[in-house]
Amino acid sequence: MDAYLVAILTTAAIYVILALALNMQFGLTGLMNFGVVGFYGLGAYSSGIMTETLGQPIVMGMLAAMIVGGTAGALVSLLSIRLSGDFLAIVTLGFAETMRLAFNNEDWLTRGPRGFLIMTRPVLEGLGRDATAWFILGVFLLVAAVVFVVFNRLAGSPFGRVLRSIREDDLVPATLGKNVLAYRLKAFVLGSSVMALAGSLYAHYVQTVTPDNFTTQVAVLVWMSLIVGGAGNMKGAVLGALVVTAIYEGTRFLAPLMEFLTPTQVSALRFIIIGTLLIVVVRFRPEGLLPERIVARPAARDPAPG
Amino acid sequence: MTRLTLDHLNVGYGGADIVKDISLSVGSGEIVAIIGPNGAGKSTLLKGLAGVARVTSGGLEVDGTDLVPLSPFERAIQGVAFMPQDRNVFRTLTVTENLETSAWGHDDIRARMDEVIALLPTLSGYLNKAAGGLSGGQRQMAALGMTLMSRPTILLVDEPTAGLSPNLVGEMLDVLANLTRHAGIGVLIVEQNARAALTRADRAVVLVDGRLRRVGPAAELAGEPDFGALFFGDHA
Amino acid sequence: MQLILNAIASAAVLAPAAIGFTLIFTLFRYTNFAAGALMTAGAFAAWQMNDLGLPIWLGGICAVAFASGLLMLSDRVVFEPLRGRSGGTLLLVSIALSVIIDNVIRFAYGTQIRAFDLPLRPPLTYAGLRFTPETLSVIGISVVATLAVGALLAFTRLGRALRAVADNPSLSSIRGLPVPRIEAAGILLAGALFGLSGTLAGLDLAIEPNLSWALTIPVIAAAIVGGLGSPLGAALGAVIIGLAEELTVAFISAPYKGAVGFVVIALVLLLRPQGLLGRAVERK
Repeated sequence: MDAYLVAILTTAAIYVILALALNMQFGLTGLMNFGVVGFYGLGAYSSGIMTETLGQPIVMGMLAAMIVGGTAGALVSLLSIRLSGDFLAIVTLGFAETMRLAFNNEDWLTRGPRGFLIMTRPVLEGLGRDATAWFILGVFLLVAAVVFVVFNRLAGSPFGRVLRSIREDDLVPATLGKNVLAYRLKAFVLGSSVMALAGSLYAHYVQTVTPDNFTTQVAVLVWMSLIVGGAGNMKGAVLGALVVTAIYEGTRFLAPLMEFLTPTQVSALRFIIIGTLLIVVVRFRPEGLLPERIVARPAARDPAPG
Repeated sequence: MTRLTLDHLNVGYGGADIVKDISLSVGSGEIVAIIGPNGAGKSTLLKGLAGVARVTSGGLEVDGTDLVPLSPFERAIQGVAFMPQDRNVFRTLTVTENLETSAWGHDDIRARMDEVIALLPTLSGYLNKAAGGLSGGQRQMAALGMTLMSRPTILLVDEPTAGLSPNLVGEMLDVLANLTRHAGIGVLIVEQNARAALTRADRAVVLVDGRLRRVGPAAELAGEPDFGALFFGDHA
Repeated sequence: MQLILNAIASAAVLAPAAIGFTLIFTLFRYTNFAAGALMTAGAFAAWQMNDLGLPIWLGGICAVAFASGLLMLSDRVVFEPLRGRSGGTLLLVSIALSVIIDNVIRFAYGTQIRAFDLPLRPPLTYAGLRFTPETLSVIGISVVATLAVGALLAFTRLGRALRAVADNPSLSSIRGLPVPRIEAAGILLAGALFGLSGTLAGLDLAIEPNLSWALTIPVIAAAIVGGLGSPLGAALGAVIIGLAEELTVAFISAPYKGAVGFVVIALVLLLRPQGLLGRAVERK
């Protein structure tokens, strides 16, 4: 039971990081990235290639993931960032699907659907099994905490306030002489590289990645986290990720009660529940569990941090 | 015969009322002009009658039917035709299609089209053009034609001459005046060109800050010496 | 030549759905990502009927009716209460809906790949072209359906009204059009088109729950290439996507067929944000 709890918390930490990253893009800036799994997967594979194929230490893997993810984020957003809303969503979704095709078909690099084996782990040598699990959880929680603190600072900083005002109305920052496109690009790249970082952590945790780990369903879980928690609020993103992990992992316990269902049916049922909850939350509590506190709205006018 | 009756009507968009305490009636074959400075609530009053803005209190009837609870669609069915100031044609449809669509639910579309074209003969020159490609004057004429397709008893026209060249302003107002007399429609028109409107209208009301400042025969109002200074500043 | 025939066959599968997607987009101004899921639902409905012993054409009619009803139900339960919310919200909800529909199918039918029960007939050859009788029916049905919808929109009272409501819903109700009823007709029509495309996809490809995303992107790509305004544009967009897909299969690599939609969307956004046909789309 202990081991299971550690595993769930480790997964939760990854979702927390992903939700924080999406909150930077969508919550703060209003950029609709449905290609979360594209960046996540790119990070996983980049990191794996760095440590396994090229034999570099794990830190280099994480760094490579962030650079590749950030670069991909820059390219994707440059394509579509001038066009608001739906187009970015479509492009990012297409990007994620294309990435998945690439993971599947570029066997020479990713080992395709057979799965990419990753031996390198973010642990010290010579720890026992339990200690390793706890250590990994510690590392993930540390990374999640660092991302939270940095993003929370950014959200409250003048930078974050410009992002919010961009989300609310493109005209205000433009009239203040802010380069709206550059800000959107920065937010998107920042989010994408952190998503890739999460992918790196995931890869070294599960140690086998296959293209099927990066389907749009995973992106839906991240979106669900953000919407449930409260888009725009970093604490909300954390809470949302925990709630969604609890629901998702909690439904696992239902499986023994429903032995008449096949594993496929149980998995399908979980996603039916998640999808339904998402729609219900959007309809009845669109601001989420922890609504964003809107401090005096045109905050971009005020250069002092607070 | 009185067709449209406003009884202490208040209109708003959800916040404070913009138009307050309006009592007025419009008979068949009569043109009533609503004039007044910018921001007086003229358009809001028309929108309230059409159901686009909300009537917050007061009575509104056409031929004895209470309009207040009715949606814009239901008011249209009751014979109240509203011609908005802009976005008043379907830009992607041809003029013919615009006219046909405006008589939804009627079987005699052909006859109505002939009737409207007879009233507005210039329409026949551009029936097959897409409404989005029309000139300002043509567009307003098409929009007016659309309102007539439902054979309305009350026509609410919001600044039909906005953006038109000066010679077209008179033409448009003449067309409106003519068809009112011929078809026996009661017309309530909001018009910036106050003088031009007053020469064609039977009666006029002056709206200032959402309230009726004056009501009277158009000619009488137009004749008042301090008329321009009072309501229109310099440009009257 | 063979390539062009294959491209037309791909386009034939996409075209009705691309028209349906465009219809929903112009009426309600949101991107419905559940397009692929509705098509898949249609394909499974047709398969189920076929499996129960009905001939495939009757199964197809059931699929059309089923998808039509499903989109109507989705609209009433999910989208209608959210009218007036931002396009982004509706888009998110449509993805959630897609996940629900996909997983309901997975729940009911598992992940097994299925195919219609069709008599095995040898491929035909004509003028050096190889094609199956199914390909021919797919193309024929799609062309007829596309022309029928085009004619409906261009020449009938309902078609004019649909275009009017898409153009300006508030003016529509002022002019006495029963907007909710016309919108409902549009939803039913769009759903029917998704169901038809799904059946055609089932004839042309295999039937499996994972079909959904593989269909959504090219359908949306076709609609975007077509300018998101006219059904004819959407049909033409489908031909362009079909051609691009077949060119990819022929000259690059078959598995990357699935990336074509994304690449085409990216190119269109770079070069002509208003789509190849049609004017710039007003966005909220």
